[in-house]
Amino acid sequence: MAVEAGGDRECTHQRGLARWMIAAIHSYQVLRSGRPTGCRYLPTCSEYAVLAIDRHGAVRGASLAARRLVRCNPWGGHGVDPVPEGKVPCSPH
Amino acid sequence: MLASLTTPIGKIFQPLLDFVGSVLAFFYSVIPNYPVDVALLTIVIMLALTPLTVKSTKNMAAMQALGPEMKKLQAKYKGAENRAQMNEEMMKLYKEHNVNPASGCLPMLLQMPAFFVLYSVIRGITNTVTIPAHTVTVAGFKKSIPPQVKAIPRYIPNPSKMRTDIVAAHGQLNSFGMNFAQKLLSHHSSIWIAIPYLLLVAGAVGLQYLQMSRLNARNPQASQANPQAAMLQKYMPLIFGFIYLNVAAILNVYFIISSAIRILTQEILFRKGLVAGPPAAATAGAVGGGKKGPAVDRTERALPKAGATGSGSAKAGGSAKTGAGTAKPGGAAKAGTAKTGGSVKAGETAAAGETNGSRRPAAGSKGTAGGKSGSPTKATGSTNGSNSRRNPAGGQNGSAAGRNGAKSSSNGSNGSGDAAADDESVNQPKEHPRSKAKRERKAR
Repeated sequence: MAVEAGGDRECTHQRGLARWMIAAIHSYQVLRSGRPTGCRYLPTCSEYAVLAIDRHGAVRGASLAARRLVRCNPWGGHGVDPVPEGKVPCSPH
Repeated sequence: MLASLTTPIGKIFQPLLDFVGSVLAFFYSVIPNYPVDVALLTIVIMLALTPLTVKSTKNMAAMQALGPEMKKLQAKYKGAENRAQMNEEMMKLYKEHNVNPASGCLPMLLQMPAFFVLYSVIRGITNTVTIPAHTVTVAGFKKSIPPQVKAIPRYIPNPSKMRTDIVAAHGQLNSFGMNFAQKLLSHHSSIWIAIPYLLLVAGAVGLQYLQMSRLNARNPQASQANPQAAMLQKYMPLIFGFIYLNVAAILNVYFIISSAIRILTQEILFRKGLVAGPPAAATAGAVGGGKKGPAVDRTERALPKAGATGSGSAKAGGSAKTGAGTAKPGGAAKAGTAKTGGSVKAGETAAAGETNGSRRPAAGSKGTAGGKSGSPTKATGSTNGSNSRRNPAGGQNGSAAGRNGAKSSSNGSNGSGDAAADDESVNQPKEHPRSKAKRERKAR
């Protein structure tokens, strides 16, 4: 992905913390699989969080994810709500 | 940084912790028995959360019934420029099927503080401080004082029977001949004394495993689809088991009771058909051809849910539950198999089949409005209508609608003509392509 987006742009923002956070979210997704999803949005909150952390790094990504979680309530919106474009994603999603 | 973050969070929870602590102390003043009180507290708090769980699970199931349709929409309106239109279409879909979007992730997340508070309070009653051995000089004489255990139960109101008792016992929570403040890994004077602790840990692990396996048993398709997840879910209780080894027995009481309540809620939800879960329905369809007993059983359970959530109208659900759902499980299962066989022959893709199925609820509910037992053909007509209404543009949609229409009518002729058949089709959306292939093989 990084190569595709441009020659010298490299995936530098996904450091240790971001990687751990993504791993944690992935394990949550694995453990939760098989149960119906309760998310009102597309992508779901956890997918959104992974993408956000991947694109924006741990801090900004986490805050984006937190804001999304707060939006995902019975009085919030629903439907398609993509992660804002950011840096080059480190892992293909 | 972390401390500056955790302190305010702790302060937010303080009143809650104190409140739950005083509830626990109240229970103790009525029944002076620690494990019983903890069990009572757990039951009370979890029951308070149950309506939330039930409601959100219902919504989730309804959303999931629409899953295939959603996927179709997603595929159709790919790309950022179509987003607004896709949202609109989704709204329409919800409205048509009378489904509210699920309550969302936040309510689920909000349950966590409740468990955090409960856990903290129960753990808090085992809080002790050991005053190390020291010497004091009294009137010129040195006097050595052995180490002392002082109980400082957290969150338990100060003038209360519970606090007095715990402090008097130096933090020991003695009931049923054992000290519930001890862990399995604490030093026990003999192996025999450790056995009840071991039983508590085993019980906690076992119940957690049971909960997981019950959930997966209803949902075999999901575990098939993701064996890695199934594996992890299987070993999760074991991993927790390591934690249970080293927590106070009273916490294991809490784990046991909460797992038991979870299993109960789960079972009741399944039995009542509120949450058959799409995969369960798929299994019913898949196994229907082969095994008779359990498949029928599952279909039966699956039916009402599909009615209740798929159509989104409580009334339709009710009728499905009483009439179609339970009265003719065998017929329903048979109809399901026959029908699906037919649809397979018609050369439908799995997606089309699913779509058709999930569109049925709307038809079903409309049929219910017109005349409950309503002829399948009529339902088909309304399905078609809604379909074309929803997809006003594009030749490809038109063809999709046509396909669905054709399929629905084949359903109609195939169906046994009773409402059960109609409802059975509702279950279809949740089917996995693989199980469909399996059924196809069986049909041949």
